[in-house]
Amino acid sequence: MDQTSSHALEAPYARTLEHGSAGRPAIAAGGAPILSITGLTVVLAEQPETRLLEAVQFELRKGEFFALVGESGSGKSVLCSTIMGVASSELRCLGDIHIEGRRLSDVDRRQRAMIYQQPSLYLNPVRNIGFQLRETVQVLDGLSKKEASERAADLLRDVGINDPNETMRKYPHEMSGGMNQRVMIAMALAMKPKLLIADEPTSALDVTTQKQILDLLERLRSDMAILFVTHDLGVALQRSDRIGVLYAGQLVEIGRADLVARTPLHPYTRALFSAVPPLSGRPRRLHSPAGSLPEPTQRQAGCNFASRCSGRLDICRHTRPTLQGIPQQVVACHNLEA
Amino acid sequence: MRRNTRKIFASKIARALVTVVLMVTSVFVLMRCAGDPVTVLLGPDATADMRAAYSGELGLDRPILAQYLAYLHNIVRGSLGVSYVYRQDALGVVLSHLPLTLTLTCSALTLAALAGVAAGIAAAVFPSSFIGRACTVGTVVGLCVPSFFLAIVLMLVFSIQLNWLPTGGAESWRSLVLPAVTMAAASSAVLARYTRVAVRESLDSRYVLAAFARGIPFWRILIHHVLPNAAVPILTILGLLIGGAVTGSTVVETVFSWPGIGNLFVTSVGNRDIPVVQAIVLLAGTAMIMTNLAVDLGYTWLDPRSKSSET
Amino acid sequence: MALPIEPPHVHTARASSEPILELRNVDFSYPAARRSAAQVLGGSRLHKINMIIRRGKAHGLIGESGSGKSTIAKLLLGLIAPEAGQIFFDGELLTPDRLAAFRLRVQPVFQSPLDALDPITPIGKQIIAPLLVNFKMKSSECQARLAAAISAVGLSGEILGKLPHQISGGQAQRVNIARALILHPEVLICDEPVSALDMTVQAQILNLLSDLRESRGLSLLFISHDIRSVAYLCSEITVLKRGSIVESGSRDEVLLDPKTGYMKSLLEAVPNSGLGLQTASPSKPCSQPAGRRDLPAEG
Repeated sequence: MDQTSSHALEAPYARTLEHGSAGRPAIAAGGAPILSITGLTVVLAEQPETRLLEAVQFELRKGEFFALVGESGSGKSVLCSTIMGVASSELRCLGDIHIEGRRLSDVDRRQRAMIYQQPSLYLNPVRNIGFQLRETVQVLDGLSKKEASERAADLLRDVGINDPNETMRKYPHEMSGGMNQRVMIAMALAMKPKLLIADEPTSALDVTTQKQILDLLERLRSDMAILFVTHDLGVALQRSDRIGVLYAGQLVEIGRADLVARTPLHPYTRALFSAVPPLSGRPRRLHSPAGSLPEPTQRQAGCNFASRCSGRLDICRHTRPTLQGIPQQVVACHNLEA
Repeated sequence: MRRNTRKIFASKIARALVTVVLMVTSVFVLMRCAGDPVTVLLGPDATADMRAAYSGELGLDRPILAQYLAYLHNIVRGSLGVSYVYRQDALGVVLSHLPLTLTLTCSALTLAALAGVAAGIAAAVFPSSFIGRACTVGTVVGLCVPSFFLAIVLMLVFSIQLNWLPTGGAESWRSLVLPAVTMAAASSAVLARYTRVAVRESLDSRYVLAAFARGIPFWRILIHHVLPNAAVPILTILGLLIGGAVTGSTVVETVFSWPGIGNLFVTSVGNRDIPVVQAIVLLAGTAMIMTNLAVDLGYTWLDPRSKSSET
Repeated sequence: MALPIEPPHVHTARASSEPILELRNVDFSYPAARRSAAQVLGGSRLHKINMIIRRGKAHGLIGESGSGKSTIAKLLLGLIAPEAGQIFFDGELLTPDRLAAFRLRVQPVFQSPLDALDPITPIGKQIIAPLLVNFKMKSSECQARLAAAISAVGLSGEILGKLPHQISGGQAQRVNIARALILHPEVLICDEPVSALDMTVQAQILNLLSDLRESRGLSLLFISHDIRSVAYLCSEITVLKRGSIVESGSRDEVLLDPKTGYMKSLLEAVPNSGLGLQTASPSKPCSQPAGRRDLPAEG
């Protein structure tokens, strides 16, 4: 079908990026990592040979905005629910997840919070916003009902809702997607989390609302680490410090956002960038690799991308590449000269 | 919002009234279709004089529309004719049997609601535990065993073998136990099944997942998030059960000789006491419509979404 | 990309820029009973809509949720009737008696491809169903059309026996397009056809729509909240805000020289507007706040 053109795009990116700012002035992302994942492999409990995630490894520091990019079936959701500790009982996790140096099982649940793609599905439809927010605050901080109401109103103000008391009387179906997402963020903030997982929080929103929500997250990030799952490379590039690309359960490339955009090293990353339609200029054909993501049950011994890759070598068929490279950008590919 | 709610309530009540009128009309049509009322009342051997006299007395010689209007007029006045057997106002006869039926159905439904909903929740929350499995098996048994069979088994065990409870009649609370349990069995099984599905669905929903992720304790989630959402389907089934209970008590009342409306219905059909049968049908129909209305109004209270969606 | 087996449409012989679908002063609002639900979503009332879709062109319709985009799609599919104003198809006023014929020539493609398919009927049967229903066509001819439609959307024959849950979202959207094409329509009304798809699959479907437009002279109405895909596919763009058209014109006019603040704010909100940019553009599409890592257009 569509041919993969893996080289054509590097040059223009390199060119356009030279004009860009060299990188975020950076809210100092330092200190001990907030989230540290080592060798995380998730398999089906019934069929341990079916791996949904394989040897996933990365760290997040305070103030960092990490964009995780991947298509459906890449294992994004499994990763999020595993970190949140709400993974399905049909899965078995191997490897380690540490939050602030402590094992996930020993960590207080309120250290991590999550927001989702369709906030209205994650809010109870028959309870009003006030109830759900107050409940969260009450359970977490053991406040009285009156104190909880005040705290809930403060939280809503924090996420840019100016009429908190009016909003607390409303039900999720009476509000827009953007407002529901703000409420979800307020609930997440109630936990004062160290780690915020945002699973495509803006994909279902209009661009202007998306911008508001992203600005809000931007404002909040100094206190926490944000793991931002998205399939919008524009958002990933604009907002994140680092980008990780997940393909078929494996992180195939992790690097500083500007480096990944300027010189994507993995052929799949290149394919992703070339599939983005340009906003202006003369339209060209969009490039997209033929075929689709291999199902977890059909994954072979070699590189998962081998069957769709134009720069495939012999070694790709039988040996799975591992992440390697300079600290700012690592990639799992055998053919780095391609 | 509040004005909107009032509007929805008004329209639902209006619809229920229209349904009552339709029901009343169809009862009239059915009674006329069932055959010449004079033949039905007097039997095939009556003489022509008797038939003419009866027709005149009942107004059956008038045009059908006039008869219909007279019928409606009588219903509004609360007179449904005179019972052929009791020689009394038919409605009065039926109403005198109503308290006993209400006692039976109310206790049976309360029992069914408590047992059914509790079993359903247990089966949904602990699907693979002993309690869960027992509830699942119990509901299947409850659905499969016909009530007359259960009635006989209960009577054999508790009345004849153990001699704890009477086999019939309506003398004391002790005679209420067996019929109520028999009636509750099937209803609670139905309720348990629907409750299990509704609670399971709510437990699997994303707002429950999100509540877990926020660290809300399980029992709190169950009471404040799962049950309010599961209440809508449970209420629907409960409404159907209540509506059906008035006529559904027939078999149980007959088996246990409980002198309620169901029992009256069976004897009146046997005696061809048409006014009484008609009164019971009208009463049962109205009860059904009214419970449905109550359930409908209950939705708007339980589910805020139903207020703003189209009526 | 596979080429269509059939000869190009007779219609493509005509001047390719003549209007094929036209909305003139169209007003529409949902009946009062359904309004409260619509109002929550921002109200879908259309006011004085004037729009022309030209033969063989792709026309983009941009708007935020609640702006009335999908209502316009329903109007153009003949699913709802305008309260005021007229719809012209091929120069003729669309009247109720012409609706049946009209619906065959204008076909829809919707957002959630898997929802649009019947879960228990094999794909092949679903694609030819419109032919059987509308024309009682001979089975051999059906099969020929089916083969042509399948290859036009780049699917292989083995998919025909499968059920919807056995195929991917991208394949499902191709199936939906094949089902629309089998009636040989002149216009495709695509309501957010790629919004639910992954990015590489989005690119494949956008390429497919672009190819179909070129090879068959199909006219497209492409409705999306994603300005990028509209910019890629469409030569004319209409911008809708709360039921009224705020801006309309060629792609370059609307994207490079937006007249209204609304369109400017939409463009500004697109993250990294320079992403995907390959050739120099006449002007910077928008300025970005400082401190972000953006890819500025070359000026």
